[in-house]
Amino acid sequence: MKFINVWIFALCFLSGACKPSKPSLWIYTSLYKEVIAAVQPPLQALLPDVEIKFFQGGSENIAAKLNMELLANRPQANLVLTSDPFWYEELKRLGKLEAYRSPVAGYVPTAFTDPDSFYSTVRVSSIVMAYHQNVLSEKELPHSWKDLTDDRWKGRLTMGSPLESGSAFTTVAMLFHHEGWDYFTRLRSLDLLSSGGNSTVLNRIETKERQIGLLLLENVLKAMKKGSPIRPIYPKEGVIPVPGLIAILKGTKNISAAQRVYDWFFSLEAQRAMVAAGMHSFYPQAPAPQGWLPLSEILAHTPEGMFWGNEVLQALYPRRDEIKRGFSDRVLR
Amino acid sequence: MNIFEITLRSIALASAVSLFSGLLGCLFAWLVTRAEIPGRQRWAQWLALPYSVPAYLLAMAWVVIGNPTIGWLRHFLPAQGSYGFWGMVCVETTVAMTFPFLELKAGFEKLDPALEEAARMSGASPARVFRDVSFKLLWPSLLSGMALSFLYTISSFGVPALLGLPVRQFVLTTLIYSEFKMGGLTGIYNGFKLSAVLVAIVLVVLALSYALKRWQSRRGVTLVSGKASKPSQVHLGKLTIPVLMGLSAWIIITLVLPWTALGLSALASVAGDFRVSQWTLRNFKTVVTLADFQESVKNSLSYTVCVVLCLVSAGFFLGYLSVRRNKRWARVIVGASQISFALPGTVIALVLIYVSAWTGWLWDGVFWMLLAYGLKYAAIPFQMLSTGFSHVHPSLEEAAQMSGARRFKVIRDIWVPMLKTVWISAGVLVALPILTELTMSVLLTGPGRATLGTVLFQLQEYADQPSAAAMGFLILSFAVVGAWIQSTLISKRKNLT
Repeated sequence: MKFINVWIFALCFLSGACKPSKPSLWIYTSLYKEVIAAVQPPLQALLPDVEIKFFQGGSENIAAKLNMELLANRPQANLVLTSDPFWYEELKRLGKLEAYRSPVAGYVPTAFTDPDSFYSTVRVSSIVMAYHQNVLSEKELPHSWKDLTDDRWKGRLTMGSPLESGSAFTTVAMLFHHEGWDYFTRLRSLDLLSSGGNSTVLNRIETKERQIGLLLLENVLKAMKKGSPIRPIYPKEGVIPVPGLIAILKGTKNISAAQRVYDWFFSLEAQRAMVAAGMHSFYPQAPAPQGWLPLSEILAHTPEGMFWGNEVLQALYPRRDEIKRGFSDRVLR
Repeated sequence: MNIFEITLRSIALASAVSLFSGLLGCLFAWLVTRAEIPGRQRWAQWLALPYSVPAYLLAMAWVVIGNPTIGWLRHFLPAQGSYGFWGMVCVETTVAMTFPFLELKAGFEKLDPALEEAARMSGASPARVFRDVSFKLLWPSLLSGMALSFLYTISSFGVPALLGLPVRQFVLTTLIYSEFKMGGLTGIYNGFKLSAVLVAIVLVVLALSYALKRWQSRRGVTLVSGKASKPSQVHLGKLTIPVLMGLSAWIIITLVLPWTALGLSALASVAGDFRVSQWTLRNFKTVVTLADFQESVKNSLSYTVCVVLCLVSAGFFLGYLSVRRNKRWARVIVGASQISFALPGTVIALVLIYVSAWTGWLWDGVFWMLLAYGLKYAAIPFQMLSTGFSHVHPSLEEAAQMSGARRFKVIRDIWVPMLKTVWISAGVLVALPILTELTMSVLLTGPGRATLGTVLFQLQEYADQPSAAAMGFLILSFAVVGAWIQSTLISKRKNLT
């Protein structure tokens, strides 16, 4: 009898966990939790009849998850907001996205918007070099991406893994596009440590396990606010822009609500939340992240080979698998 | 790097862990059951505790303790610190040691002490009694525990990922993961090819284990005769103090150091800065106020309760049917459960995702997640309960049946109470890894279904690592306290009966 009681209790307990949710709108995103916490209340206020829900993870894991849902023909996501542009292009080509030209997103440069309006850049992150100021003096710092191939950085470099992080993948794609495989072969000979996501890279530099890392600017700025001794370096060839994109999934039932959410992310309020988290915005009135150059200046100093745009995307898209495998063979293994 | 080299490394890693686990498990089990040391029951509890600790938390802690550049103990470790093959061996052994330890401890407790007493009274030394009596009767339990250690290690992912990948030492599980992460059909195809290699190794180990059990049953070895007597203890004399110091050192290395490392990392305002003046509770606050964390506690608990009840109930009846009723199909299921136990979680999860995609069944439910947990951990209760049934002499059941008791009454009045400690232990041993499972959960979790493992992983990889350390510290503390309470309850119950 006792055993049956335990079973009934367990089923009741489980039914609580599996309780069907209210009509909801799911946003799959790689935005950090504190950004989600900042944007959720105004979004909920905008759409009181719809429950706005977020599923957060690294871009590559979100992609893996949604790909599986699409394979099962049961996508739960209504909007995606991550930072692997190649994946958006793939979804577009597979016919999994809903075309939508937002009336309020006109300020986003055309190079950062899909020409067929299936997706658009909603924020721009930047990959910079980061270092521990108590370990390296200003004189010792590298000034360009190429400086990292110097012998003195042997055993001192780190970056995220392109198999885990969307921004690390975009970084590898852009550096491959600009410098070719020789660059990574050289970094491998210098024992570049590539694993995990941006948080792992930050941790390795803070703990002094490695002295220089390729890291998202927003991670550096957030850490500095907490009193971390980590500092960014602006490479002379320019930073690597990592576009954060937004798209609506095809088949979304409440399409008008999804479009309102899509529009809201281009509003000044949403863009300010992005800026507060250390990302750049194209919105004319949105400032640059505190203590950092404005986006226009960053883009103006970005050389042609590193400048993100649809042309680069189209050129690299067919080589996406080759880039991952090439990096894996040259650096990870 | 080629697949042959990686396969050899995986086998070498699992073999080394299995060997060290067997040696340590055997020594510790003998000490807590046969040696005269103060607080034997408490030592047994402490020694079994690492089982309740997720191995990836230990690996996280050892990155802090044994890091070759900044680790606290780096000066006492080889050049690679806790990274690399021997780092993986040591950290895996701290958890895998509990399999032979628990098997042998149960074996010693059930072993009829009269056999050892007789040898001792004939003038045999404790070492000779162990070699000629205890070991001869218990070596199947030792090999069974070592086989579990081997299977556990060869399928583990967290430790090789954290301690092997930074020095580019792949094993099969991390290579499979990396192939799947490559995206595209080639990566998936390569991943499944490598999984086939892993399954082949597992099948060889299982075949050997099966052959051993058959041989054992032909020998007709039973450890319990139905009579109970207390074994006399071996007096250690001058060795008592060194033994106690050795046991304390083991507990400090396997539990106290990792717990301290995670605790200090959680208190640090900036990673790696452990100065007391810089301590903050901010990371703990971040974790406990996180909506995902609160949701994950509820989800992990409910999933665990459900899977544990299913597995223990099934394990009980399968054990009864395979051992007492000699049902072949039940034996096949018990044996097959070891294959899925040895498979990497990544492979199980991906196979289930594909099955769910083809069938389209229950995609939105938690069904596939629970099934994955069930497949992965069924071997523990199935195996433990089968072994439990085989250790009890059939005369007890025969006596009950001759007294007119029906089969259900025999099960209820003989087997359920007789095997109470086994099924409670099996339940706890299944619950602990499920509660903090990571590898499969990361792939199978969905919106609204965050678990403790997935939230910890997200914090570690994508948010901030001091918060991950805070969560790891909380999980580790709860796991240790939970396991402690469970083992205390069991030992109290034993004392009462």
